[in-house]
Amino acid sequence: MVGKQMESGELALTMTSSAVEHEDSSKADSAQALERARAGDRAAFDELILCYQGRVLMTAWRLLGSKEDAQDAAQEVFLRLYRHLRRVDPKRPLLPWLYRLTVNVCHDLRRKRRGINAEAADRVDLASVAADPLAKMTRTEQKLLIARALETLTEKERAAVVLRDIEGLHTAEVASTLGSSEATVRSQISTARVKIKKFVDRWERKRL
Amino acid sequence: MNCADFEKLIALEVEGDLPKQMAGGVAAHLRTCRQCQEFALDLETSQDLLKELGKEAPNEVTLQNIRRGILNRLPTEPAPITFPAWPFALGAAAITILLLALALLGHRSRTPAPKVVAERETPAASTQVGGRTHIAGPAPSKAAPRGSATTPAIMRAVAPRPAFHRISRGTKAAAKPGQSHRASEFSRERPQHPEPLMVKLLTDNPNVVIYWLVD
Repeated sequence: MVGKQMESGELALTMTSSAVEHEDSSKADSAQALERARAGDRAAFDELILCYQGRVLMTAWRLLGSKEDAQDAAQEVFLRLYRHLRRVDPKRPLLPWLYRLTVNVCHDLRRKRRGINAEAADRVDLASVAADPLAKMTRTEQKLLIARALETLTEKERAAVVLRDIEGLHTAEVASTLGSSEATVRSQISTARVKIKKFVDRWERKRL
Repeated sequence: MNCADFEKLIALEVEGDLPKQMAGGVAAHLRTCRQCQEFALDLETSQDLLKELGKEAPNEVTLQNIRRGILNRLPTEPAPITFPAWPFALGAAAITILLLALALLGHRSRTPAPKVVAERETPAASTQVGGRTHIAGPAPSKAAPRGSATTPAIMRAVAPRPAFHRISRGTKAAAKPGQSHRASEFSRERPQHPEPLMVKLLTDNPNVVIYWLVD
């Protein structure tokens, strides 16, 4: 049971379609696990952790830009989920609720730490790329560059683009998660995409 | 619209986020503008990279650490039953308002308790005219023989309203000598309210009590 959920949880990370509409086999299982967890079953809550922790961690990582902070955030998300289990409607999908929690926890953490602590490893990798202008950027390095570009966005732009483009939610779902209108989210996404594109352009021009 | 304006629309169009009515205009511009075509191509590349970030799977060891950390920090007792606080606060506020309203209505509808505005021993001689005792009010009760023990010793005026209280106090000094103090007071100052004023006259005989009702 746990192994199956783990597998489907990982599978969910590779999906590019809407995450919320995503109907995998673990959805019914996670709904049952949620019901049991609400009744005080800790094993069921453990199943929920296994099912969703990967997605929560990666979202937090993209929102915060730091792996360590993301781990703290993921733990906090699940602790808050446990504290407020009774408020979660078992008939509705848990993932949108978790996304909202993740965004809120990351916001709190960011405010507490005042700024993003970009990973030193990321910087080292990019620095090595910059040192050799003739070297072609590998796919991994390009992804690191995008991760750096994400840091240049405002908190709201970042949340919108992470949920829409990285997590694959629809605009309406992003708006619901962030508590904004669809028009606002579209504007944030548009600005964020242009900023990321220009950041990548600047970086490549600098290399050449 | 210039190319800078189109950039934001193109940024939405590459992922199909642009409403259909605007998409046509953007497509038409892209067909004619080479600069915007390049912009769109570069944007698609950066979007592909962005989407690839979503395909990354976290490290298994990291996930295990997180899970262990969560389970260690979970409270030992089951999740407490928590209710949202706002319905209780709202209910308490409503009950408080209701109680206040009821108290206010009750205070308004209740007839004020009769107040003794004057209590004075009236000498029997002061009301004697021509050897007969005059009592301010109706004739004394038949139960008591005339002129014997029916002399009012104490007068009590019961005023239902504080307004009358003020008036009667003010007229105390204006009472004429030789006239029953209460009688003069009540004959000159009548309350403006419709409730009857009841004057209770006590005599020396405890079996004889005289009530005087004034409209």
